[in-house]
Amino acid sequence: MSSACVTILPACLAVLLAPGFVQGRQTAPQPVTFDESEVAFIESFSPLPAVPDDPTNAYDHDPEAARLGQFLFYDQRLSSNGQVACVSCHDPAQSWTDGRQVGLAPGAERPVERHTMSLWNVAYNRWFFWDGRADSLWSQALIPLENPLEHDFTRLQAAHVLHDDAKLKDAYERVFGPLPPLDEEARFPAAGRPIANEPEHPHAIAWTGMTSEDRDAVNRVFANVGKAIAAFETKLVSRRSPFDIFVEGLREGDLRKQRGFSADARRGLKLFLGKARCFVCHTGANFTDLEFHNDRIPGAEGVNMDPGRFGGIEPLMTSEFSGVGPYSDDPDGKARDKVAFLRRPVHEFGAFKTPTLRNAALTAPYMHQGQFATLEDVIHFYSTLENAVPTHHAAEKILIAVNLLEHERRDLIAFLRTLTDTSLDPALLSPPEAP
Amino acid sequence: MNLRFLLPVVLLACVACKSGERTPPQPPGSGGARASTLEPAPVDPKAPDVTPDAGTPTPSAWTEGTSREGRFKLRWRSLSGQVPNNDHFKLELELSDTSQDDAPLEHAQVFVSAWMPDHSHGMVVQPRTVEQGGGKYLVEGMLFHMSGHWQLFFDVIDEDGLSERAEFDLDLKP
Ligand code: HEC
Ligand code: HEC
Repeated sequence: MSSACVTILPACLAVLLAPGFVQGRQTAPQPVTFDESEVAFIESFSPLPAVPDDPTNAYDHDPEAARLGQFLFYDQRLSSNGQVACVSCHDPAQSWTDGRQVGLAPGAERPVERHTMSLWNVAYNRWFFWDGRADSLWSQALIPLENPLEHDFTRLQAAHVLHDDAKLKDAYERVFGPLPPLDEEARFPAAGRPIANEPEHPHAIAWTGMTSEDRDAVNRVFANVGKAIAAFETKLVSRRSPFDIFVEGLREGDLRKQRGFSADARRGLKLFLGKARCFVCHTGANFTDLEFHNDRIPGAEGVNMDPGRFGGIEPLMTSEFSGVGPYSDDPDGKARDKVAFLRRPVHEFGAFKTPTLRNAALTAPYMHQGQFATLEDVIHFYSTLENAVPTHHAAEKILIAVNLLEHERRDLIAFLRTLTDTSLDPALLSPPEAP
Repeated sequence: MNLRFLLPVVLLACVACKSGERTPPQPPGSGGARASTLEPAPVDPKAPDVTPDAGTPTPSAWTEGTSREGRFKLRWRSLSGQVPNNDHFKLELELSDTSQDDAPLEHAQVFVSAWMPDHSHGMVVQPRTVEQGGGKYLVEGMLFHMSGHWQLFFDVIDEDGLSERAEFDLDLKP
């Protein structure tokens, strides 16, 4: 050891403890650098552009619709037991999810079979739900409202809630125009919805007893409820994370902006774009390719086998609220490209939507059944594919065990943590005083 | 990989880069679905090998080829001027019959499909072909949902039921 160590002991200690110091040989710790093509690749992940328009929802950027939607998002009256609102499971204090393995509505006898998805950056998606069975944010919102395990409500009841509260009625009519005459009891029963597999259910009987014009009028109100809620959800954007500031620094050559991005995170980023192969599916500025893959994650105990995307296509194609349906504000545009040519390839069996990784550090547990409790568990799985379920169908070959070393796993997690930004207008975190 | 059909793609891609003006790198476009230009295969799926975003659409170039037994000539291009990565697009396709002095091939059925050999999966969509007359066809519903090496297949069946496949290799950049 050189005599300099005697005089500058702390510096030498630091060198000794640095990861690059191997077995007494002093190899300077490798500074993490990115070459030109890596920088170009990194820049494709940031900044996240403004939320794309949803042409099927003419109100997606309408502030009045958003305020009404925010009010409804927090409103427990939209449930059969008066205890369930969207916020029951998508809690802003828990990063717009619920911290549970699978969703459970207050007062419900049993949980739903999937993990509650976070609503961060939700409006950037092409498909909604783990299986993509909704093709717009507004049509997504209608499904939990009528699911017996969630709000357990009906579209007729929802229309009556709007009609019977003078403030709500007023807010609705300002945005969407007059409500149908819901006080005409003979035409508009108190509760009802179509239930294909249970035509004898009282709600189904009430629904089929209505004229088709009145059913259409109620469907339109229901779709508008979804459009208002979607306008609110469109505001839940996270795009100013430490990673975004780092990339801005790279682009501008501003070293101060790069400084906050630790060496661990840099190494993690390099892994993300290279050896760990995360970029293959978590690509683009919202860290998702917007589509579906079979990650071969073992199912959670006691939860049924889930066909994933394979099962999601049929309900999407037959939904009256799809982007090509009568309640869409643009049935012939992009929505048609999305839906009209879909098919059901077998490799979609067991495939689930690639989630964004922005704010993922805050949304444990992970995966469609909340199978993994921590990011460590997630990385352990990708690293080893331990207990990966065999795919009986033509399987994608892009998922391979990436064999990350212990320190590489830590670095990758350090990078994932830099994707965190929860700054949001505090007014969105609770219901507005009036709709 | 079929080099016979790869070659025209390579050549065309080279012509395209010579003639196309290089624009400086731009911040990426819409959420996650960056547009990118068509590049020749082969690809190394491990290498995050990237070209700067062209920003504005590059001029459209035809890609030409011949079906396996040489009966049909094809040329196709993306209507938006490029083959986008993970965005929907439409193809324009022109067919001619080499047994008829390259006369436009009308009333053919054309089935378009694609495959990622490195991933063992195809497209998540089933494109449809609409005949437009004069040997021209419009292919709707195309979507290459991932970057990497794609094989694009055109199965052409003429009025007499003669069927031949044409195949193109392309590499979509992330
Ligand atoms: C009982 C808990 C629960 C309630 C109540 C609930 N959700 Fe969810 N939410 C979930 C679960 C679980 C999923 C995933 C379900 C699936 O994939 O089948 C989900 C998925 C979503 C998604 C899809 C996100 C994505 O990235 O695809 C959105 C959006 C959403 N919920 C919004 C809402 C809205 C709006 C309401 C109120 C109308 C609501 N949720 C009520 C549990 C709940
Ligand atoms: C083959 C495509 C693919 C690759 C490669 C991939 N992911 Fe994923 N990722 C997915 C899909 C699909 C899901 C959801 C899977 C499910 O629920 O079954 C997911 C889920 C996740 C989640 C959970 C997010 C949540 O909200 O539940 C995290 C975290 C994650 N991936 C990180 C990574 C990291 C880090 C890498 C690189 C080591 C990686 N992924 C590689 C496709 C991929």
